[in-house]
Amino acid sequence: MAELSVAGTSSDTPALEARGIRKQFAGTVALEDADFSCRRGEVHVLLGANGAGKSTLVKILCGVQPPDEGTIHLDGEEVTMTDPIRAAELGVAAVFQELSLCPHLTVAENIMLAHEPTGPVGQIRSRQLRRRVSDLFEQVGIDHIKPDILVARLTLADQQLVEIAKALSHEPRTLIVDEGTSALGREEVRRLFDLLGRLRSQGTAIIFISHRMAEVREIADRLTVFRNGTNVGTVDAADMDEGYLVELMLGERIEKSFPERAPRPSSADEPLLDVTHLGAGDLLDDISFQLRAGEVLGVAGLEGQGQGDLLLALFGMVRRLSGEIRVRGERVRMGSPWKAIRAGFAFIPEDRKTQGLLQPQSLRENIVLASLGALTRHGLIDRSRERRTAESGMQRMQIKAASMELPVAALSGGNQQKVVIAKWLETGGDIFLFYDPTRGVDVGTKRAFYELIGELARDGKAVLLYSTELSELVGLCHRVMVMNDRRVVETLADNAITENAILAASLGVRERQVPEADAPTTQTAGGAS
Amino acid sequence: MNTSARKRTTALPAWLLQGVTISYILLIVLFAIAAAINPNYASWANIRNLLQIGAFIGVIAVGQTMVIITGQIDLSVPWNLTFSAILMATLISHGYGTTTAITAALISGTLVGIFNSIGTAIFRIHSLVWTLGVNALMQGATLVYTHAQPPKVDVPPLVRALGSGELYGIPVPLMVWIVAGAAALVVLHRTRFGRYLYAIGNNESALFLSGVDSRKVYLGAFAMSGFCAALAGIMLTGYSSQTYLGMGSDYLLIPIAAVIIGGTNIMGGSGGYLGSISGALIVVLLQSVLSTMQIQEAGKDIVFGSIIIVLLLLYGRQKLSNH
Repeated sequence: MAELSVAGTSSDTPALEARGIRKQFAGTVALEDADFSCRRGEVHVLLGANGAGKSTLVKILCGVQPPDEGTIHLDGEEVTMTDPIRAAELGVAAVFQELSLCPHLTVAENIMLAHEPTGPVGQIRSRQLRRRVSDLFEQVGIDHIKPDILVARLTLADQQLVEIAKALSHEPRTLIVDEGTSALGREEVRRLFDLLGRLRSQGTAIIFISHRMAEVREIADRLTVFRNGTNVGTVDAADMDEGYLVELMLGERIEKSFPERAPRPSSADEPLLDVTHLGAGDLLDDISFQLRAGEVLGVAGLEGQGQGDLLLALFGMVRRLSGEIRVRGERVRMGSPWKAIRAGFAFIPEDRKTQGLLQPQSLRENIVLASLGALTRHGLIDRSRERRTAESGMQRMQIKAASMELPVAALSGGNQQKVVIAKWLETGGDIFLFYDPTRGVDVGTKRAFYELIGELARDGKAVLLYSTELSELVGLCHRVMVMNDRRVVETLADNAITENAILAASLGVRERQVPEADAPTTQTAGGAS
Repeated sequence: MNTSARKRTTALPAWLLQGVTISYILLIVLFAIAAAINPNYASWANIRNLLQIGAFIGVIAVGQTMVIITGQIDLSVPWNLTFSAILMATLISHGYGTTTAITAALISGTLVGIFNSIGTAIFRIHSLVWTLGVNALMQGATLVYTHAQPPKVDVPPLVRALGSGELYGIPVPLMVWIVAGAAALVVLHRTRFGRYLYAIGNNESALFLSGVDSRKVYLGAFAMSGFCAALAGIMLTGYSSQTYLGMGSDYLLIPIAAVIIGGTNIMGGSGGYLGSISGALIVVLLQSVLSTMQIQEAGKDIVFGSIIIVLLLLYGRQKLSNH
């Protein structure tokens, strides 16, 4: 599968070329012998699953991070990019998903930030600055944003356009757009694509990263797929077969070892959690599912399709919910974490450092934090019971630490994660919500996690696992719900759970089928909200 | 990453670098120096006097310690204190009973504290700004309310006793301090509320996600600080046998300094009232020593400021050894 025809090789030198790039972060290799090239006047789409190395590549190409090995060539000449300013001087500019605008400066001031036209004593020439920005807007066809307005007053979509204009103010010959459309609605995407189209015809090389297949289909001239930190193939858009691309993104199955799954509870069992028609403004739309004791239910999807919001809603962190949540047949009112905890929910946050633990405080204090009420007698904490609780929590989770008085900051990542779970076992929680728990976590800790989830299920707890890692969902879950645009679009069970199936459902394509088969909405014009 | 810092700090035993330990060592050293200069310092009469004055700072520091542990600060103490004291005096001058007047003052102080927590916990305005505004608000309210002329009133015996009385040879304000201090230690170290104060100072979102309404924790801390300010206002009224407009002005930065000298982290999350006790005593002792040495106001400020800076640098090293 690895040998691929590199389509459409042409004689002219590429506008930008990276050769043999390697980049390592604290033990994990993000890029390994990665090649990439982009031509003048083309939109080149970068594809890849989470952690494939796309973002790292982009950061290296625009000087945010230096490569450990490898070279970058612009128009055939080798260059060294020390920082983004140098990159801009060399003609490479990038737009990132996270906005980098100063909200209390005007549009014009933001665009010309750090390269304002100045007079003899260094004063900023405001009129000239504004004129340059209006010229720029005219040139790229932005006619609805006034250069004088404060950025804070713009919609997110318009801010995104300003961000792009800011990149263009450096007159780049190569423009990189990293997930520039994730904040945009259909109308705004159209406007952005018009703009990219004009730039393309002016000869700019454009590198575009997106997870939305429909958009990719629309804008791409060529596509390059990254997997495990390396380029696994480049194809012309004309030859694009989405099912094939999905396979390319996943590659041959890397056998990961997962602990043996607990048997799936029978669907005749009473559900522990029963969610019907759950909705929340523009976050969630008509979600219904059931979760049984001993079951691990995965939540999958591309980033930002509502998976995280679903878990937050169940834990009382989202206001104004519609629909019904029943635990053991009884309707529960949501609205705050303490109500959710009383109903039996436990929440394992994404980032244990900032959301899960009191780092400088002891293991004991962390383990009992959510269950102090039960340990209080006559208004005072019963210290011996507190110690016993902490001890049993440490034993139950097999937390290895010399003393329960050690600060959790002194523990390894895996042990810290166990502390978070020990805390919830003490509250008597039986519905465990895992919010992407293994993101940015080392292999050993991941492994510990997988075992924990298996044990929880065997102990009769119900687990709702939101993960961005497909292999995890396949290896751990009894069922997987795939979300797209705030809804559950498909639920896979047992052997039907494969990485291909999940990714295909996430992207809204059928496995191994031509795209036209199921894409009626994407081609309809003018369906703006 | 900071192994070099770690190596340097491990040269000293860890307990020696605890803020509390440092502050008590400093207290003993200061006292020894003072006694060496002037043997009268070690006399019971002088110690008694220091403890009596320390009580006013110590009582305010009870609330301030709790607020600072949450990572916030209460700057409304001076005019909350003054307003409560004047409210009590006015009620007495209108013929209300002493207990009623004292209760009203304590309630008023607590309500101001609750108002502080609303700004901090609900509107999420940093307490540095919000309580400063509340302080100005209370100042204005006091001036309007009294026409800038606090009522002349015969301070009743109970209030007088709270400020300068004596029972079995022990000053009553010291007794009040001991009771308030003991309560603070129990609350901070033995109750859920105390535990949550530390938790909120370390990581509010972790506490919230553990199912604790952090707004209530802020409310408790600020209400406590308001209550303590009012209590100190009542005691000070008894001490000076009158109320006056500037009575709170010395009680903003000095109790905060006492809390910080006692090793409570100004960013919240660690420390405790045990340190604040020695902090209050250090502050009182320093002031007394400096004035008997006839060092002028400006000189006092310089010594005071230098001590705080040196201690913060020391406590900073303690931080490094924790990570």
